[in-house]
Amino acid sequence: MKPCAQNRKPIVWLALNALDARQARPLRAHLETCESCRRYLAEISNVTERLAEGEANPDIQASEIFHQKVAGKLRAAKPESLGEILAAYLRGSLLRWRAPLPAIAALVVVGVILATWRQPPVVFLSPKAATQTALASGADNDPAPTIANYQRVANQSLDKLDALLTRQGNRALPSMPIYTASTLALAKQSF
Amino acid sequence: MAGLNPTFVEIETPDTRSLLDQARAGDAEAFGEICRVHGTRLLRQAVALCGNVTLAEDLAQDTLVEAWKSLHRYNGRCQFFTWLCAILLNRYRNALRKNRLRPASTSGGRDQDEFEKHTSNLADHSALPDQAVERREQAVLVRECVQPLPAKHQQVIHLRFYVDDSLEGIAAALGCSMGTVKSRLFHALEKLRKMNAFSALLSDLKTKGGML
Repeated sequence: MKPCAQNRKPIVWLALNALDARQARPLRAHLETCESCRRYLAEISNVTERLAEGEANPDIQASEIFHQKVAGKLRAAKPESLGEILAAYLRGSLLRWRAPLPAIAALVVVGVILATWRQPPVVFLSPKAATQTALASGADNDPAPTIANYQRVANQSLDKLDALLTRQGNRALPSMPIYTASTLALAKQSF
Repeated sequence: MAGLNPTFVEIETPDTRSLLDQARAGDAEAFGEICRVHGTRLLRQAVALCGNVTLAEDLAQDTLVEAWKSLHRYNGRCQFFTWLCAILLNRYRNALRKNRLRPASTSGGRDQDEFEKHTSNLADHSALPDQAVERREQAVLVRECVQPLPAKHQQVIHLRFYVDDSLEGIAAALGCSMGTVKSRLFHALEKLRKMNAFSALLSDLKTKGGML
């Protein structure tokens, strides 16, 4: 039988005499009624009693030579300088941060990746622009604007010819001069 | 069961306190006196860890020198000897990592012979009652069972059972909270309870108890 899960730690601390009277009282009352917890306390108490037998050998004595060596080393050693104290403090701080450091580093890496990774921009086109884009999409494969080519496409399909002419018309639109009455008059004068 | 010391009270004798004050002011002679007070106990702890007197003497001496260098860190919230032992345990663990030392349980051969020779010089085993010899052998076995535990568990077991300070004192010496010390003690004792070798020791104890 296993001891009650919530009582395992308190039982160990009771065996170590590390529970105050307020905490110990209800536990002792529970122990009177729960055999498995009582057995667990007995097992832990056996371990602590055994451990207490591992005390250091009382016959060993530090010799005079030992003390002289210590005195010599103490004379040679100097208390830590301010720099050493600071270094020790920083080392201690780093050790305290040893556990969360990998998590922080992982977060930084993820942040950098998210900041540098860009999705292609989503452009919302007006219906007219969308039509022009769709028509222009096949522009690279269009044949050269010659009568022979137009005849060939017309033989295949009139719809295809219509689409081809529309594409080429749209593509050429910005570069084509826009003639008005005044510009035609100017052009006539220049000739 | 060991009693608890009052929480965070300066436990040292007035003489030791006075020497500590002088040492903190830079008086190496005063610190030397403190070393004389604690040297033997510290050496015993070192021998129990290393199982080799020569290495243990080096370890204890280096511990005292490190304590002198970093005396400003001792804040009087634990026994001075507990603080020394915390340094000793750290140095021992570092030496093990660098393979300069082997645990007491694995130091056989010449080292063990040297250890036996040294202790036999200090006290004549034949003059000891059988029970005393047996107790010493049991102590070695118990220490061997503790060796496989993680270093942080060994530390709290050592400081609680062999240095015998309060949980508050152990926490102050190790620079952690009392909750951490209690948690480590719980896990350490749980591991020992489940350990086969330790169970064998316990059953041995029961058998002997039945025979007596």
